[in-house]
Amino acid sequence: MRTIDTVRGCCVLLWLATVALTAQALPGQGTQKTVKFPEYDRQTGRLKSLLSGDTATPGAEGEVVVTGVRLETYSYVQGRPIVDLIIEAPACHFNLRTRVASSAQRMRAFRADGAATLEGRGFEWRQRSSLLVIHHDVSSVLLSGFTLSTAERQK
Amino acid sequence: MIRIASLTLAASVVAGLLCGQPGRPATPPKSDFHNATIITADEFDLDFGSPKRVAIYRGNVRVEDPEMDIRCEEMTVTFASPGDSPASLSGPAKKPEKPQPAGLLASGNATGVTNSAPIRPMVGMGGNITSIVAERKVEIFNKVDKTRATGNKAVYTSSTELLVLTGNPVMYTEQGEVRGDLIIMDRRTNKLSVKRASVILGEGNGTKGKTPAPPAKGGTGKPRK
Repeated sequence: MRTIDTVRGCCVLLWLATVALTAQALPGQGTQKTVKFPEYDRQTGRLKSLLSGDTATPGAEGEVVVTGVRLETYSYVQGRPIVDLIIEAPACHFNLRTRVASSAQRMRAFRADGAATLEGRGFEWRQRSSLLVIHHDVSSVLLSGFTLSTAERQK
Repeated sequence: MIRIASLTLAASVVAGLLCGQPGRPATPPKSDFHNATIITADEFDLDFGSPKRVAIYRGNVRVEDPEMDIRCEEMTVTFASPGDSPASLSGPAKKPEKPQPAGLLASGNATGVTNSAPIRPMVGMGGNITSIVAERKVEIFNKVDKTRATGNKAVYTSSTELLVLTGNPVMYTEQGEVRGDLIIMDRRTNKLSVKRASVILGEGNGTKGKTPAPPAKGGTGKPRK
């Protein structure tokens, strides 16, 4: 009976480990599904941004090709995280070492409340420094600013 | 053609145009798409790194706004830091004053009309803008008073609501053009001041076809309500 319980426990642990591994795309592995690459503030430990994708395929030199890209940046109001800007693109290259995402394809960014949208072709997102660069054909529609207004932050 | 190097006259020409627009909106816009500001450019940088939050548009920058259109080669928008309070962004509130005729506004002694209602943020953005800097081949088309201003650099500061145009700045109106070292537009009072101004009045001033036609019900010389 103890042997059966031990085997059952090992199976559960193995299953949990499998689930945890498939949530992260690691170099040298095949295509992973539902990937997430978070970036945390080193001083506060807060989540600064989260790059997620439908799939991630390992490429050359520490890069992965992410499809179904969605990037979220976060602001904090009284300690609570609020989605600030959302960036979407069909695919991008993401360097696991430098934490830079780039793509030559069209992209779209918008504020979570829809107050501002931004479109362009070819972009680079530097996750550590939180810098977004759009290379061509930039068009933005503003009902408000790009980032949360001060009034919103102080709610 | 009459050329006069006079700040008073320069201000009287343009301030009358700026201040004489009845019904100029001073309230925040409705949040619909028609009041949106559209900005196009070749390249764009958005820096989220704290504490600075800066957006830079580069190359063939065009801003289409309900109040004014802007063209330039580079435009830098600086957003407020998360810790900034709304009061610090809008600056100290001015005491409302009685409306003054445009001629008095131009004299440099009288104070302008101050609206107690909040001023619409520059280029339609939210209230979290601290400054906007437009550089190189700057052109500003004011759709409200139908004037056009050019220069090499324009700086808007939200705390003071001042728009400062430098780099051989020129303002074109139907009545003439104003040149100077510095053209300062106060969005709170609608006052205009020009440093070392020169004014060219009448036809043949090179502005024909450059300045849009004035509105049907122009309010030149009338105080703002």
